[in-house]
Amino acid sequence: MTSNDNILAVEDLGVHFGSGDGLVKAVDEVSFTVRRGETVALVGESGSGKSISALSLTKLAPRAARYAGGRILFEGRDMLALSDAELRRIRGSRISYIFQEPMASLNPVFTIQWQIEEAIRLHQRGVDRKREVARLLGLVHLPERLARAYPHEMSGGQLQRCMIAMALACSPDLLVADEPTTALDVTVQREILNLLAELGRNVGLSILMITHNFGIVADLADRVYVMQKGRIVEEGETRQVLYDPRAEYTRQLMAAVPRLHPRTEEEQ
Amino acid sequence: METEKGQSLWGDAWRRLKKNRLAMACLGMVVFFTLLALYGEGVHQYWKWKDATPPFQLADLGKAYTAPGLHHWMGTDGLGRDVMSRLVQGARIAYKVGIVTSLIAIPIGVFFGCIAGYFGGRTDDFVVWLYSTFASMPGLLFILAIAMLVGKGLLGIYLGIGLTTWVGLCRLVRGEVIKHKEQTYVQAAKALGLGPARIIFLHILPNIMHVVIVTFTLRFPAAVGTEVFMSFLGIGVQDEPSWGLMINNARMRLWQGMWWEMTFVTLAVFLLVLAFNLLGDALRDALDPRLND
Repeated sequence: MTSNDNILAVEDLGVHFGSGDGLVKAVDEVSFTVRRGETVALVGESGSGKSISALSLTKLAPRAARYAGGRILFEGRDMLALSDAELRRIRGSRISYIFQEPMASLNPVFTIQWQIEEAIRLHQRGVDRKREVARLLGLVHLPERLARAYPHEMSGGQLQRCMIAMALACSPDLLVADEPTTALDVTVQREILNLLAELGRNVGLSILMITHNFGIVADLADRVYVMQKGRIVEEGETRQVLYDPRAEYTRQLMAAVPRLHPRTEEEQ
Repeated sequence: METEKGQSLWGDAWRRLKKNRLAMACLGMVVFFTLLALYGEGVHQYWKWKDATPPFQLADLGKAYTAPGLHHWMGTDGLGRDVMSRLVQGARIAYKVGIVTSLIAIPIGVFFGCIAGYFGGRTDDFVVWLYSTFASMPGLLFILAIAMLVGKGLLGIYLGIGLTTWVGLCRLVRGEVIKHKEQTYVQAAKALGLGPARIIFLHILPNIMHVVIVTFTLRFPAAVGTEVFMSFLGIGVQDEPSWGLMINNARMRLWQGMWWEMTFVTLAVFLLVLAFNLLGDALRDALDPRLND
């Protein structure tokens, strides 16, 4: 494939916190790409810099963060060079996010209807918002009557579906899913992952999946980047990384996935 | 789990409030005073329209210091004016002061609190400096200075109280916004591409509205009290029957046994302040989502 297929290309990105002796390189010369329609996983433990990398794509990293170098090319444009207003036009309409904790990601005082409409209102004019909300709820397999519900009346899985509906409201090109299933029950995790896989296939969405769980990677991702301490330590096709991990750290991460059956000698 | 009909946070709060008998009694009292004040305004406007001196301002020295009885339920004052109708007019003034000062103080406090909390940095430094400066001056002295500056009368009271009592609310709102801006729903709103103004006032503010409402119910009686005090000192309301003026007048003959004016006016102030304070407390509990039962 040529680089023209890349919808996103991050080149030598550095995101730093603090300065002098207290300098922390949360993201240190990280490069990765996402192709059109592809699902890419960014794997690493807490604090490895994977979430900061994801948030940095539209400059959403915490205020204390400093973008210390590199480029983030989204459809050929360097996101780091864009103005706030230009970034706001891209957020939510071209690049959408879903977050780890669906219970905290929705505004507690508004109905689902209002919140999904808010996502539409901002980037699209002249659409029938009521019908659009119904369509989006259908897309994520939620009953239409839930539109009138408030977040505290719904379960975590339902809320994450709502978040996905909001993220899809303006048919984005790239969906960044930051640990989308970590806060959910195991059975619900499965449903959400299936939904994401289905959307990736049907809508032709590119997905950047941030996770610490190799179980998710195996199911969903076409390619994997493994991050440790702000650097990428391994990258490759999912199959190849899963069956033949080169970095010691990747092996450790994979061994950390809990299993139902006890390990045999051979596996260890 | 799922419910058919959405139950809003406000609906929940109302349900909790209804269960609190004391709070409902206070709400009744507040409604009663509100109606009284509206009636007073009606009477006031009527006499203004007729271009005549209203009876509650008309001196009739022959009837001075009539004890409470059939004709004057709460007696008359030193100029023979009916205490009860003056009391109603006093409620009108008290409400005006409570509402107008709130309309000045609450928007200032909310606005500065929001931008300080959300933007932090220099903006925050400036706002904190500003309210610290206001807070470091003795409140009453400051109010007196403003009242002197714009002249005696209601305008002085409005500005004096309005411009000095936003500090507490500002501090509260700032703290709440700082707490809320770190929450994921704000992050999610940013990720949707919303601008700061929309996030602050449409997404965060409704979540901290309970702070504003509780503050309103608590500062309302405080403003009324301050007005009474200023009028008592003679720099407040001039020729309208404010409760403060009435207390000041009643004090003259109290020692001769003319107890009624003093008693009824202080009782009215007491009941209004108590009702608002207790209602404010109950609202604070009812609106706190953490106490969800």
